[in-house]
Amino acid sequence: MTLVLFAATVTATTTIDAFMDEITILLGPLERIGLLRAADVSLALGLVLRFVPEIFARYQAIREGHRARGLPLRPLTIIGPLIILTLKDADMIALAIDARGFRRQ
Amino acid sequence: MNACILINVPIHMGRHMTTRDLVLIALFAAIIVVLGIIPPVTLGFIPVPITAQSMGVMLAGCIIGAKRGALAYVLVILMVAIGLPVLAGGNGGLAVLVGPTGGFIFGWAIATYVTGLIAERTIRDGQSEARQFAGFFIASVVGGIVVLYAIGMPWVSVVTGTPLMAVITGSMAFIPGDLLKAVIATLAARAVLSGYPLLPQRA
Repeated sequence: MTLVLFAATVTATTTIDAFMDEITILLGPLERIGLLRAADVSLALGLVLRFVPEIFARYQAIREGHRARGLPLRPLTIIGPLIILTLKDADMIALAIDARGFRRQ
Repeated sequence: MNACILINVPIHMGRHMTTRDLVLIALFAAIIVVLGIIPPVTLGFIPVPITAQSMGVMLAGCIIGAKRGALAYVLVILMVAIGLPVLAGGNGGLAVLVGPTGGFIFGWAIATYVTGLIAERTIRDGQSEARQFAGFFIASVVGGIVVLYAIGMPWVSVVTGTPLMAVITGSMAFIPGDLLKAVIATLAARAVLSGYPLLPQRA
């Protein structure tokens, strides 16, 4: 619960751009030695913060679905749909990122 | 975005990481975080409650494979280090990383890599269901239990000063629960494989 509130607060008060810029700067030294692309790391972190509240909402929707159908809450019947529904968005998100030219490639 | 010129260095050996891989890594890291928020389920016949987050290693390795799975955990560890409360129970911060359970947290990334490696090597399209179940189960047990404990237990022993044997016997209480998690992760991974296969196209 704390995390959902925290993530929501950070999302509401900090623009993801600002957050990502900060991490890009912090990881600059690692990029210079060729270990990673700092911009990719900050983009990934921005995505996580952006999607945690959304995935949690999806979990609640699946839970409601279980209740409505009178099914017991079992880890298996929740995790499967949660993962499939979430990962199915990956293509759209990737297209959106590339369409905006975030990764300059 | 930063004004400096971005060098196109491959993030790891082999093919350059696509945006889709990056998004899958981030989404799975977010799933791992959400699994930590879901209240644990008690099953009655074993005393340890099943926290969904501890299945993350097995799930990540079996579903998005070795490299992407391990990188998803690197991302989670990075968030722990920043101090975000991403662990089950709202824990986070550098203190957790150097504490007794730190070995398990760093071990997640390596354990996920091993789980993914075994899953990638054993699971093929068109195999019988039973073989896929067996492959996922072996991958989950070897990566998510054997490798994870091999890293986590010596760390606990060093940090707390407890003899390693005592740590090992103490950890045995968690093994039945972990085997059950491996079963659940196996079933979930197989469900995802048939619903939305990601493992075959490796990063």
